[in-house]
Amino acid sequence: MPKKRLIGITVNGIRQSIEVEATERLIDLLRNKLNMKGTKEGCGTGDCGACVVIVNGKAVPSCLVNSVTLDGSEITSIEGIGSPDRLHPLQEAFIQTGAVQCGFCTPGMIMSAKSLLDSNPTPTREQVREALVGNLCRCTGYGRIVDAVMIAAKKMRSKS
Amino acid sequence: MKIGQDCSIVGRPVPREDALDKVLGRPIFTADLIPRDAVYVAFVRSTRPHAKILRINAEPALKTKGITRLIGKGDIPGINNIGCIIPDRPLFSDEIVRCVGDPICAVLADDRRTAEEGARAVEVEYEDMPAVFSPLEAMRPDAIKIHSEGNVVKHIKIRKGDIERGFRDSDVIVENEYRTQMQEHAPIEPDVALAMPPDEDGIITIIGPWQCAFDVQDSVAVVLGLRPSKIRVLQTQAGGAFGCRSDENENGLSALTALVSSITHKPAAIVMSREESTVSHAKRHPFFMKYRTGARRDGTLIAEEIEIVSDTGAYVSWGVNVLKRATVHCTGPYVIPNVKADAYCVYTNNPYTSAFRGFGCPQVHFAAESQINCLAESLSMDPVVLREKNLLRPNAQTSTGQVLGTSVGLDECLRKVANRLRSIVLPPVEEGFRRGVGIAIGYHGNSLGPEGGDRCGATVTIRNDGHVDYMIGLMEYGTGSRFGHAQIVAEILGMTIDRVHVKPSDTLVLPFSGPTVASRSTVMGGNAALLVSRRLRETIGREAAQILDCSPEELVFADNSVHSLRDKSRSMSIQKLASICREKGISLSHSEIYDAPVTDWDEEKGLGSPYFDYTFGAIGAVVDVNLGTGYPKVRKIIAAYDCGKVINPLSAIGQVEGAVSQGLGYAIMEEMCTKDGSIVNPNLADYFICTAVDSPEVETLFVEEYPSEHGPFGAKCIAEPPLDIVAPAVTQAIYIATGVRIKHLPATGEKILSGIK
Repeated sequence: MPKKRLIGITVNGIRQSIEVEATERLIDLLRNKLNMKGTKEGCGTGDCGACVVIVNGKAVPSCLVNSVTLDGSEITSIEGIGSPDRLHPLQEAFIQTGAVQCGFCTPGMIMSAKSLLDSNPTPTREQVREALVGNLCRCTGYGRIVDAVMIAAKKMRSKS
Repeated sequence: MKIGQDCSIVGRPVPREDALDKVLGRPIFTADLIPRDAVYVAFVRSTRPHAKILRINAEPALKTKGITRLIGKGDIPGINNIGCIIPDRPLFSDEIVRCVGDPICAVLADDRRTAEEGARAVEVEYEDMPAVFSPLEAMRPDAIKIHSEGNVVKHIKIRKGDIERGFRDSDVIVENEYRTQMQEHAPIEPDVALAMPPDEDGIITIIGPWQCAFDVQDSVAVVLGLRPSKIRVLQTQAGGAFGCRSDENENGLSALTALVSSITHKPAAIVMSREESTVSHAKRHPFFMKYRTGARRDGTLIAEEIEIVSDTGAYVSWGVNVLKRATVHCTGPYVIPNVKADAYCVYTNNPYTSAFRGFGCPQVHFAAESQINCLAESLSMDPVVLREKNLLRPNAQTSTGQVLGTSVGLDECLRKVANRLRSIVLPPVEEGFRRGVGIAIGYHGNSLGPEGGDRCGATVTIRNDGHVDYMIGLMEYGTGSRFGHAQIVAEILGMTIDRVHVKPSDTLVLPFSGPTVASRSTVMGGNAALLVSRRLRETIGREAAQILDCSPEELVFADNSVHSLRDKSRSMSIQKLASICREKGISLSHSEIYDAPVTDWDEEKGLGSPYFDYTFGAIGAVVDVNLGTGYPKVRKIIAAYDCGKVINPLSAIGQVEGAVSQGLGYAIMEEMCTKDGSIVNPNLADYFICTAVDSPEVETLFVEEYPSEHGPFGAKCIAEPPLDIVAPAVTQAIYIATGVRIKHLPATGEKILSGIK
């Protein structure tokens, strides 16, 4: 296998060709090559969920994804879902409900929640808890996070 | 501002300012800020619990591509020590390693992975020495010595009343032994540090998620042999801390990166893997506790005798202070006339233990509250009634002889939880489960008390555009307490909250604020914010009074402006006022230092008034135990807290819910396991913390009718106290459901199941 490979990917709506190392993790591609620091590394073993991004519609821990396998993929990270002036309903709800404390798990948490709401716009509280089981939060105890996702879901339903 | 006065911002659930950066994923954490040209450092760590270092062979590492050099104790220009309380802990091991994970030396590379590989390639030849892993064995006179002074670092005691007579007068005596485990903080952000090379003035800047910026400054100065003013410490946002960024670990990471940046003249970074981070920082002290409790037949508590042995591992760190706090709180929040307690802080060759949210209180509350439940059973009394009969009320005397003031809302907290547990409607118990309900109560001394000098400075500046910058040397690690300070500043200056901004803390410009520990931020930092903003109000008030032609006392500060009480039309914006002050050369940047009220703790007598305030609370747990697996599913937690005036309910509820989740992990699943002193589960796949599914719905109730006489607006601390009493509430619920009394945490399904059978 050649050491480096050129891949074509769409990151937050922008198509680009990038040369990646044979063993380069997606999280390193995002943080180091594309200088997008929103995706956080909490464990490097897929146990904490802090680095979750959406790849081809699915929430995945980016520390477990080898970039070489991503040719032709569409990737959405926290930087791609909202801006200070136009926050995503999840971002808005996380702020309003107090679902953000230290904030290290927040980007991954929001991406997992977005993936849930993309496929199930009307989740129950239990379904939200189950969908976020791979995203560890050591600060909040999750209650506010579940509140935020429920509020965002409602807002997104009323918009669509 | 007097208590009870109407507040416009203090007491409101205002969403915090820094949440925006966090939901957008902005680069605010240390690892996000590492420049591309940084040198990466990795520690070479001991694999032995107790051994002499015979030889370090760096050749294999230096042959690894990308490894630039080795750094060892010979490179330290100052003193090779980073100890917190006593100098028992070197940065790099001095001939002897005392626990697995002790740093021996470090390697440098241009990237993190290569540095880690290089560190693994360094060969260390050891001569193993006998090791001791049980603190009970380490206390024996014939035990091997881990440090030259012997293994018992400290004996702390309480002597109140006449214990012999107390037990003679008791109708019922309950005696039990309890054990608690080693718990890992598991902040989601692993340990990290960044140092920038000396600038033209020779100042080295250290950037990291430090809880104690001023301690880091002093410690690094010692290691580098520099004046502390040559070390500048910037605190970034921290991805959680819970105590693990407050001790030798932060001193060590800072000193190492500062050392490397001063040698290489490049930025130096250390970014730890989850596993190394877990091995690197301290844990919660395991306690071995013996409790003997005596009461009259009517339930009146008469006597309690307690022995505590705390395993501080290979280094003391904050262990002595943890034990002081544990001892002061060891009977739980009760009136007991005769108390005798003896607590020992003991070295072993286990990983070192230190500060962790609760700071000794979770261990002793577990034992003390379990005792009350056992006693209630012996007396055939309702445990709530037994608690009501004995708990601390206003003006009561604690077990250290401290006479409390009026800020004691414990009775009300217990009543609220008990009532809510009666009225709450829960889903029926599923087949194969059995339900139990448990209650526990607790108290928690605010701020440092006997743990150290207690003062806190803050700086407030009104800018020319009418915005206000607030700075304090206490860090933001998730609690939002600095935003609470901003609310206080806004309240006093009559500003809207969007005009008050919390700036990152920087030891170069800030007055001493002390450490960000002991839930002291709201009380100490809040008071500093109150003090400094009042002084600033006086300064601008003098000018405003002249311009508006009234006395300073008649001024009303509101809506970003100031007006005369008599004539509202005589008004001026703060922005305009700031401009006028600038023209006149009046400084609108003030710093103040708040000194904590005096406390006293007589170590010889084992009595005193160690904390100026206590937070009180009660927790109720509804637990369904799975009879097939033993797993205790917590359905609901009700928490009622007297933390005085709540500055920001959104943040305060967040603290209660978070502490409950961490306390629940401590109660039922978390245990850092060691084998021969080596941690066997240093990752999040094998060390379980509560997930969104494990964490229950929490209902938080505040009792605000007993405000503090000292805290800002009557506030007391809230971040730690709820963690103290989750375990005894949950284990009591398990007992009610199954008849299994857990005396050794955590209450895992396995333990419960083996008890049922």
